[in-house]
Amino acid sequence: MLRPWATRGLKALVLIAGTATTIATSAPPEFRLTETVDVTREAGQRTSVVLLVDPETVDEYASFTTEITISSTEDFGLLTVVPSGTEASSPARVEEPTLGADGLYTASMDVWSEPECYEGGVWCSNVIAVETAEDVPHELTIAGHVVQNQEFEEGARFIMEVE
Amino acid sequence: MRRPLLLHPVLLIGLGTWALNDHVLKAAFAAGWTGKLSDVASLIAFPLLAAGAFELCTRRGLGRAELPVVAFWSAATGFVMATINTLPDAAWAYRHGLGLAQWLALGAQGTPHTVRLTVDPTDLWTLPALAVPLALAWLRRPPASEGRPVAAPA
Repeated sequence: MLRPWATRGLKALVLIAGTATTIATSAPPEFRLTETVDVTREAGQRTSVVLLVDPETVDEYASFTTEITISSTEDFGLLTVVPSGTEASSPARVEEPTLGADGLYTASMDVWSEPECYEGGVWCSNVIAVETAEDVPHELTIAGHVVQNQEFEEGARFIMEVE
Repeated sequence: MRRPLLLHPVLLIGLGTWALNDHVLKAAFAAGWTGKLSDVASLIAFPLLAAGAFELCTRRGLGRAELPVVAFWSAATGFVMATINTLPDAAWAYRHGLGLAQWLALGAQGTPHTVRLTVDPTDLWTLPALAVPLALAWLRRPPASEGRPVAAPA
């Protein structure tokens, strides 16, 4: 039988450990770099989004992920997301926008294509193509995100190309 | 005398599994089962931990209030688990809320961050794990006579 002070100490220790486990749970910190571009699209027009990420920008080459968010004030129907690359890429899929509290229809997709590091260069790319449904509105806001669990260096950025 | 909730083996095993899985097994075996294991362990451990924190504030333990307190925290934990895996706004609140808690716990340096969360409706299949803390509280409930005044002998 433990003495009362030892029991109290053990309980406090478990409470601290439990709180730490809850806060430092598997959801790791997430830091984002975001670039945004507004585009005008025709119905069914295919949009290619290329994120060019400098390896110097991210903490560790394998640790970052990329996301694309497409939003509009109008419902743009279903999106067909076709990541480029090989078997290592995420499969093509269909995304449906949801209406958020901000009044915007938004579809978010995390994408990974097999990165292509240019020969002798510094840039790597993650590429997806997005094909909107027939009832696509004319104005879309496309945001690209580079996400990692370490803070980005000051001045870090990436390039997003939308065609 | 009953064992304090915070020192109960079910809570200790749940917490240990949760921490080990998050910080070791997930890195070693990136697979679907490691994600579900954390969900199950957290659903078992968190209601008991929260109820144990309440118990710590009392002189004589929760007594007959233990079952409703554990039931409340089980319901709250299940509600959070269900909403963050199905509702975008709840996921947004979780990502920002937990990020803020992590930022404060680390000394509030730099700017607050968010946390990464994989919204996965199949995580709802782990909700039956909440039966474990509820069953434990049910089995630990004191006899009905406890706490009542003892009738004076005639």
